[in-house]
Amino acid sequence: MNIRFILQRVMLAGIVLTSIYFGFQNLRTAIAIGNLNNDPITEWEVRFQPIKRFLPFQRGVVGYITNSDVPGGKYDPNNEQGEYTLTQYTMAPIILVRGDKEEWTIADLNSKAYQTWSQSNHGEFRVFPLKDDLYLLQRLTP
Amino acid sequence: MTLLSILVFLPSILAGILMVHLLWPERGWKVGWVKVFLGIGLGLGQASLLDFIYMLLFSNENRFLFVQLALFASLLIVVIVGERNNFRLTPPQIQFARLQIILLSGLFVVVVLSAMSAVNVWAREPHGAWDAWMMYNRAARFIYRDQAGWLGSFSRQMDPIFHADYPLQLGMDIAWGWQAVGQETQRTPIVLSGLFMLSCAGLLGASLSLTRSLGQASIALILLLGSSLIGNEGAAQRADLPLTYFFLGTIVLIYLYATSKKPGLLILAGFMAGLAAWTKNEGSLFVLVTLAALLIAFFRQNPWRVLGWYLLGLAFPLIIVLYFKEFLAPPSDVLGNGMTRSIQQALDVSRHITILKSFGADFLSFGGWGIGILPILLVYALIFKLAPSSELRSAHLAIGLILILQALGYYGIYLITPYDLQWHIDFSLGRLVFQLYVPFLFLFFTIVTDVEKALAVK
Repeated sequence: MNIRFILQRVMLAGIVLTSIYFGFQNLRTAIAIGNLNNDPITEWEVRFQPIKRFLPFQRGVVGYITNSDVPGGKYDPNNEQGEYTLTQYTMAPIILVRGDKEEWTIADLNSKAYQTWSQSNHGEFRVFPLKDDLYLLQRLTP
Repeated sequence: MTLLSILVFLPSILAGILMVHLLWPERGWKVGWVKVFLGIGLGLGQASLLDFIYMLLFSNENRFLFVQLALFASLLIVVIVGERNNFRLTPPQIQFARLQIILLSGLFVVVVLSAMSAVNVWAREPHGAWDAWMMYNRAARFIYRDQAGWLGSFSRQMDPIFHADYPLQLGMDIAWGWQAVGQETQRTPIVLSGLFMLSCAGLLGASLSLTRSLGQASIALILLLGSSLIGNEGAAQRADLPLTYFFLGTIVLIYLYATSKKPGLLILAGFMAGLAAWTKNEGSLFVLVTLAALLIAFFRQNPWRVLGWYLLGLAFPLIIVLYFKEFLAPPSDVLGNGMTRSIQQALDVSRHITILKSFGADFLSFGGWGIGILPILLVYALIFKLAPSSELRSAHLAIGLILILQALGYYGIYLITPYDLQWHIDFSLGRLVFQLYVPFLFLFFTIVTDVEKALAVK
């Protein structure tokens, strides 16, 4: 039995055993990634259901503002893009565009940011307050 | 709902298997398994292409499943008529050597672990990873939720981060799957990603078992499934796994053509490459790369004939991709820098150093085993020795060129990317390496000495 023959057997055994070991590790990681009853995307969709029911159309373009659009509004920059993309995913086939230039705008504002926004936009929008810090804004002035 | 989602894709898959059989009427059990795994992807691919045409013509209709049933029935009749005098089923004579039994046992454990991991991820993240829900599942929602106005999905008003320019392979399949099932369920994209996972691993194993040996197929699959890469990608519902499947399908078919010189295999290879372009933008680069590689590798064997058959298969999916890109899709952001800035970036030495460093680091760590799988394969090749057949030189050359040119293409994209280079690399390089890793495994195990031969197993 020469050295190459032994090395070949060791190599094969090493690959098989390493694969099984990392297969177990990967399964442990998969089990740890989240909760079976608590999918954040599904929760986000539930949160936006009232907006979908309230909007007078099912396709078209809608504005989108958050705390980051309000001067002094507190927000987490790491979550900003994630929440925007989640909202677009939830609202499809409505197209979301940043800002409040459209006739209808979804506002995801905490109470302080809403107060600030409301003072500087008084009379420009009809506001439909919904739960969970969500507001639907209808532009009154062109 | 999972079973229903599988059932709605079944006519497409069976039609795909029959298409493969019509173009490659070779017989035998080993060939049969290759046909099955080629047929799954080809079936899902043709369904996506045909649904795109169906939606352009009849966006208010909801009967695409019947188109697939009719296609399957027509192909079945053609096959039955063609095979009526040849049909016989001889059971395979299976005898395993001890080494093969050991490897198959190891493979069985790895397959079970990999499947359990994927099922766990699907249960915990039913919408898939970030890219999956943001791009592919989002595109499917736009198509399904507003069939009459589905072309609005490609509006220029859509924020570029949603990549509405991405081809629609997954989006169309998910959308017509929902139409057929009758509701928007996450089980449909999960089933779709599971099918691509199964067909990708199955094709690698079946093709190596056909062209080399069962032991060779087993060790390649153990490496693929044991590294968690395919399980993670499959469970993530991204397009990288279907893309790597179409890459693998193309190169397996090119390899099989080199061994048998049957033109039908090249037609299928072209179709597979076209489906890669219909899956992700990297697939369009792959189409160009395969054309150049075939021309060079088969230069002494009537290359125009080779390219002719290949283009015949490529034509239909490529026309659809070009139509989509030209008339519907918004401009791609990756090429949005303009010529002057792209040239400036390409001449910037620091960008080359950053990319090369990242490629090197990925080479040394790819696979999640602590040590990179690619250096492990290097040691494996030294221990088992390379034994490429001289008769298959053109096939090995073609596949090698495809992988090298595709990697160079990715290198070029990083050079001219409008995004922050390090961010773009961190975000995508692992997936790009994965796209080439599976076809590389096929090439590697067709060149390295069979395990049975090395260990003198009869």
